[in-house]
Amino acid sequence: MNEGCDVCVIGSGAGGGPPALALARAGYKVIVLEKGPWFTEQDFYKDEMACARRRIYIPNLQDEPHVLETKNESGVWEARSTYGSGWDFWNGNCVGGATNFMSGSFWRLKPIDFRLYSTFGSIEGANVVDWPISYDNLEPYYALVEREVGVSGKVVTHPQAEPRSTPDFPYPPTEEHPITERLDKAARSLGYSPFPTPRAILPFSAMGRGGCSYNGYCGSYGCATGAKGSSRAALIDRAVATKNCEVRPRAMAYCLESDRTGKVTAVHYFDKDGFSKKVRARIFVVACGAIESARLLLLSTGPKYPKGLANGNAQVGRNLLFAAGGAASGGFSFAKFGESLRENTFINRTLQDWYVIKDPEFGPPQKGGTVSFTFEHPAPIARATQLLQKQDRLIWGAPLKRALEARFRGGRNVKIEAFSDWLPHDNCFVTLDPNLKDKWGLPVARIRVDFHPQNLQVGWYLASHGAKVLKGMGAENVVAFAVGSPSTNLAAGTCRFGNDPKTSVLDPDCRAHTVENLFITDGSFMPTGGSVPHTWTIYANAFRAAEKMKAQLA
Amino acid sequence: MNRRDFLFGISGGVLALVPIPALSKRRIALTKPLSPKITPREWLSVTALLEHLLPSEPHAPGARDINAVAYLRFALEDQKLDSSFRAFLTNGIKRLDHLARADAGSHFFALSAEARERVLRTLDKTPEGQRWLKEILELIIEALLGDPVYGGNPNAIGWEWLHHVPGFPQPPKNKRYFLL
Repeated sequence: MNEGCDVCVIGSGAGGGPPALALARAGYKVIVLEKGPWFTEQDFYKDEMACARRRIYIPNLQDEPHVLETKNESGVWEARSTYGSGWDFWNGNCVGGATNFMSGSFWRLKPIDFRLYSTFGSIEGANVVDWPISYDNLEPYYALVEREVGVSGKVVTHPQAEPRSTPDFPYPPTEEHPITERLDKAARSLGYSPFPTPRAILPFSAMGRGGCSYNGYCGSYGCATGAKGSSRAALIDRAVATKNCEVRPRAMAYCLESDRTGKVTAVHYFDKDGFSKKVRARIFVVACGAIESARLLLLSTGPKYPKGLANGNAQVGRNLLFAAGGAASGGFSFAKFGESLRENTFINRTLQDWYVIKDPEFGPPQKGGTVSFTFEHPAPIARATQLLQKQDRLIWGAPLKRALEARFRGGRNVKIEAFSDWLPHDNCFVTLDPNLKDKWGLPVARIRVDFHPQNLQVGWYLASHGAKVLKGMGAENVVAFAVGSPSTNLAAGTCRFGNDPKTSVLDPDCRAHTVENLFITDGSFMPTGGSVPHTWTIYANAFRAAEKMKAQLA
Repeated sequence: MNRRDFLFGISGGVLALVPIPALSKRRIALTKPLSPKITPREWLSVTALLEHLLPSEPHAPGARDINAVAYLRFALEDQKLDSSFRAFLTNGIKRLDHLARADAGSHFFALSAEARERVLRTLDKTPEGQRWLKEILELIIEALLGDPVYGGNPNAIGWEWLHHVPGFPQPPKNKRYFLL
């Protein structure tokens, strides 16, 4: 393939993999541009230095920073480069994107997530709207993802279960740790309804991929067996196998060229040697992640779009979403709970009893969220460095060594992650920074972040209820807290889909209202994020959008 | 949050440019650029520092058992670490010896354990000094619990001490992070 193709997909993560596979399978010529390198299973090791300490799967922030704008204590907006700030909004720059490094805990949205506005009404200071499609429109694609990506789990009846078109998951759950029984008992005695967390992890070899090796190193680490359902292992590799899909790694797309009629004619990119190249296509699919997709559109001015592609209504970049919520943890000692505690199988339990909070003490009924239980990540350097400081003093010498012994030899922590809606609002958005440029000389994304106070209230409600289960299990040192800061690994919004071209960027098919051959299929389309991580929904919606592309190409 | 990035963002990466009260009192030229090269005597102080922070014990490995000095040398030359961060580490090493001589009248390596502790606690009370010490401690933890392929944690001595079972596969030499 040279310069031309039917479909050019920019980005190869959760939003890029589905259209690449679906369209290549349908016989269309597809080119995928990915700004990062192409790693395979043979490049992934349980190496904390590579994955966490030196973070080699993301760009160097000196070369490719963002600008983060937050409010200081006096209420004044302050902007600074993320280089040297401690903040980092990149996730997995390589073929397959951030899905290579996800934990693979997968939940669908529920019907109520598609109609938050009509169910709960407006929330002051938040831009909550209904989705232009319903759960029923997306359900077949959730089911498709279960098969194509490989989702393991077990359907159990519980009050919050969403409707399904198939009786059960195509793969049985990954092996469960014995402590899960204790969790179930504690949760049920509190009147809650625990159920197995679906995982995008194969419990055994299938579809040419290996099964789980039960290391416990899922989140932040690439999967060496292919069990994890990354876009690379599950979709891109199969798209390439059709011989209709070419992946170009280290290709940094920087402009979508458009003509006077408003149609996109080509995408320009820098190749690995820094040379500018371009690809022409009939349809262009943008899937660079919520922040970078908005940036690419804003960079792509043209005769019809002086403020950026598809940005005639100044909506591109607005209503940036993250996942809100909270967290908790509790300690389980080997002395009390036995050596079996060391087993590296999964806990895989979820509570969604508060997906809608109907608690008079908390106020009128409102959207709540999901509580997920996992073992603390086993990465030892991360665990050890948490012990280096106590209040304002560092710890070293024999006291540090005794603390390390107690922490590592004494037991294991079980963690809770609580996920709730990050309410969209006017002070959370992406623009281009007027000053800072990346190593290619392109303006970087400027990210303004503030959170709605309701995020914290709901996050605390969920985390504290989850903590009751930890206490019921017999955990010691249980702590719970809400999280106000953005989840930099889970971003969505910025190019909302909707029926009204004045207030949304995309139509209900995820095609730009004003650009007939431009689709956006990453999490950018989401007007609200749901109370679960976005990945399964992005995969499902991208498969749905691929059907619309097929219809358009035909 | 990446503490390492946070660190050199705040400090500008150059400890020597930020006045440390304890040093200012002793009229040490704080703004004078420091030589990028660590002298043999300063390496002796580094060795003493690392052993003080993670002492070797009969039942538990310390800095010398985990090759901490060699690991620190590796980190100071690691191109994957920002150059301003590495300069921050180097300047801190030099500053430690300055402080030891100013406070206790001798190079850090020549001080008694009690005197070393006093010097380090003085550093720990200043924001910049504490940040530098914490980075040194984090590098010690890397040498203790990182994969042996990087030169620390020989024969998995750190993992064995703490009963840690590593994930697998472990990285072979040709897949170390700076080669990927």
